Amino acid sequence: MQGRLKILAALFLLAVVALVVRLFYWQIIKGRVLSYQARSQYETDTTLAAPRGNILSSDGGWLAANSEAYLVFAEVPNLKDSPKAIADKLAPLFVEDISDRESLLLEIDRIYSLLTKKEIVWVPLKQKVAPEIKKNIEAMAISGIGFERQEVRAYPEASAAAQLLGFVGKNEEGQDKGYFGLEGFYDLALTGKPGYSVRESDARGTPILLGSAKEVNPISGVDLLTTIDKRVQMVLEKKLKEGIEKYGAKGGTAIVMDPTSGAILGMSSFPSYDPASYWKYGDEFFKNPAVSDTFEPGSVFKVVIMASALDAKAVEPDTICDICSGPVKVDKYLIETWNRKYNPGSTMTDVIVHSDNVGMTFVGEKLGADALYDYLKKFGIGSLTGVDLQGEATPKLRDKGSWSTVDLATATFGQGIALTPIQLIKAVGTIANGGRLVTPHMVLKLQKEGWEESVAPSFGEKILSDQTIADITAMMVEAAQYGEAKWTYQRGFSVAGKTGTAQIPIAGHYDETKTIASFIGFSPAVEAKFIMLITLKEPQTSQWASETAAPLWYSIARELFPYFGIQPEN
Amino acid sequence: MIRPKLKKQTKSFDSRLLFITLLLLALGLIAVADASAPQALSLFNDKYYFVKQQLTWGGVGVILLFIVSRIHYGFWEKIATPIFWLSVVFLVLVLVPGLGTTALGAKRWIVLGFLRFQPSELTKLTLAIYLAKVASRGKSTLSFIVPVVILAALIMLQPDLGTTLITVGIGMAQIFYSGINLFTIFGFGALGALATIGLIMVSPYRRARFMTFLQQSQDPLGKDYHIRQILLALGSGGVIGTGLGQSRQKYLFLPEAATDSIFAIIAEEIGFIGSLVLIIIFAAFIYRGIAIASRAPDKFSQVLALGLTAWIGGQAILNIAAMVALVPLTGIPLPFFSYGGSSLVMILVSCGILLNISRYTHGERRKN
Repeated sequence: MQGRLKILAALFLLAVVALVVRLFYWQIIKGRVLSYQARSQYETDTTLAAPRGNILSSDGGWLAANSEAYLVFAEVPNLKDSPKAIADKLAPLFVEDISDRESLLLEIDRIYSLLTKKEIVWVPLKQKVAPEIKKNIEAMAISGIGFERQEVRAYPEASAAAQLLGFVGKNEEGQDKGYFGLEGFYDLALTGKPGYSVRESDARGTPILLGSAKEVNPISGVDLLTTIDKRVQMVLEKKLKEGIEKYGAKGGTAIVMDPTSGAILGMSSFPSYDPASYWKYGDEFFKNPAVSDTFEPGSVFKVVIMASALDAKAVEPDTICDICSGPVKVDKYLIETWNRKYNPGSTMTDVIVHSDNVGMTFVGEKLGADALYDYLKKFGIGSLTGVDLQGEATPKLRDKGSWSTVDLATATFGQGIALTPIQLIKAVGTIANGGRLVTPHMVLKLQKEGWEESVAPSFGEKILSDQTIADITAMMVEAAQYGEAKWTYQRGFSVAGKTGTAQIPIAGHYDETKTIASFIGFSPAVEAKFIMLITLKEPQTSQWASETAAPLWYSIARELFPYFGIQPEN
Repeated sequence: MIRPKLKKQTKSFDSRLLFITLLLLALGLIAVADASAPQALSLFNDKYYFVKQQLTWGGVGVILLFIVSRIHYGFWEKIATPIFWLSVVFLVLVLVPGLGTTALGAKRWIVLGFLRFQPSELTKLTLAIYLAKVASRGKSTLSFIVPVVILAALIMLQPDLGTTLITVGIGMAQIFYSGINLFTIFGFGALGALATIGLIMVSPYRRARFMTFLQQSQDPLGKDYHIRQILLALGSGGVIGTGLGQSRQKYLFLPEAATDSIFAIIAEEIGFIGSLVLIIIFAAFIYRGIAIASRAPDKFSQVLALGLTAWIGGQAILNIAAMVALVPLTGIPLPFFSYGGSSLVMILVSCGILLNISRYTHGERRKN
């Protein structure tokens, strides 16, 4: 009998050894793999978003800022009221429009189903709720409902500068990302460096109290101190909108730049959108027409061509146009003036003042295609201006040597050549600032508490001689004073300007009735404080810039003169 | 009482067994406190809820242990037959609707007023006593087999495969030790094995569990959530463990964390080295039990001591074997450790009987 007891003892021993061997296998041989897999079920990595930098106007006011918002959540075990009662109370505060019965009922259903989910302790009910809604919910004192601070991008001036600012959306990973405009261009600087935290939670997602937590704090994004002058921007917004309505235009763009530095003081386009609720708008609204849309500039371009010809000494202000007595035939095309009136014996100044297409054809012949091309290149036509906005586009300039006589002739009066509004203001800005090329820009400084870095671009090379500047400025002053827009001229103020009415090319030909009316001008004529470009798309009251874009330009300028301290001359 | 020195060997307990028992009890209470906290917090908002209950039962058990250890083991021989049949009656009552309560698809408990207990825990003890009596009377093989089969059948009706296996295991060990012809034992053994396989295949729930077990030899981290969570706990423990109270698997990931799967949490917190020590303590318990059986004064006490040892040791081995995926999960508690009053009290009572038998052992030199 003792022998059998030994056998039983041996069996027990064998079993114990088997357990130990097996335990060794799971705990030591497989330990690393298993513990890694176990960790993945109780550890959650969270990215801690870095507060996004603000976008500031030149006086330090907010153009885009982070404002507080709250996540509304429910702790299910602490709820005292029934889920239905809570859903009924919260839903009216969560929907945009209480009178919309259908969406209200949907919201009640949504909250109810969240609250009645099984095995859920903590459930988020609504993201990014405004502080006043939070206050209202708090006032109802529903037990078990709590708040967690979040961040939301706010644009205090609403759509004032939507296309200029861009908006903050989500990237593929669901993180905030800036798109278009400044939000897009400076996204990296604004975003900062996100931190992360590793938290442990149980099978239902409740944090483990004793659990370890690792946390790396986020580094907040930097603020952008822009060149945008709030006052100028507001005037542009208001007047442009009024102008578009008044002239029945489809859209329009206004840019005000300091010609000396290239700082954009204001930039506005319509139609626009609200960056705080960008998702309600179509993609076509997001592009900034001022830097992304190309157009044939028409007569405003004549000043660029004339400045080139003067600088190349191909013509002088009193050079007489010897072909200006009637329409001129180039190849198989007949070039006429806009009003079919002809001025034999016109000087170059007269050509600009009358916006004479035949006269410009004469200038083009004098200058020649290659020299014209070189000057356009110098002015930056055909290359990006380098403005710090996402989405800048540029049409390609026709290759040197491939210009036909027709191309040359039409380019002199701004047809058959396309550019963006920002390229045009940069080119004409060169005339306004004494011949130097500047880079249009929006941001002066990147700043953060105790740190700042200037990012304003340096001045470019001088591309026009002083004599050229003096001559072309004088022509533009005359054009403003005695040109077709003279009726709207602001007497007493020193303005150099030029109108432009360009036909819009449609399927290979021009539609006579569809035009882009523009006016570009700077003031004062010498040592200009500002240069402004107005373009109106397809104005209905009149197709002519002199009756649309020019008066709009002056109505804005009248508000800007005192602001910039520009005094009337005697 | 001043004990005469010359009579010491017949009058004192096996103090090593007592020490091991109390050590296991203490460790078990710590383990329950630790492993049950998250579940207790989640269910009762009191993380000590389960350990308070267990502490009560542990106290009751220890008192019973000391009382029983002073009752001469011969008493059990006298009442063996009535308590065996009484426990059979209880097993039948469990199956009566209204008296038995159903939990997790099994009828295992009897509710008598505030008292809830699991008769199958009692039957392990009464069976061990009854078979020891049968052995001491030198009865036929059939006298051994019939009570085992009756109990096994009744427990299977609950159904509770794990307890059935333990019950049959206790019986087999006692029958084997009683000196029954080996061929007879093997014959019945084979029959029992066939019956077990049959029972597994008849129930879809057991078949699924069994298939999971078979599959996991190829794919140990496969579908079965429970065994996967156990293995994750074991693996997380590694060599030295995550530290006391540092288990992550107990945070509602691991089912039955405080009951059948408590070993996984222990192994996670104290690692391979700690679990090795724990297994060694259980082995020491078995060794003491077998030592007592081998030196017990008569056949009844020998077979009884072996039966009790086979029960506690076998159940510990079967439980841990399921944890390390050597056998399928059958749902039996780890003695001293798993939360559950009936099991703890019965085990402590058995230890009391073992201790009493140890007072009458012969031939071993005490070195304490």
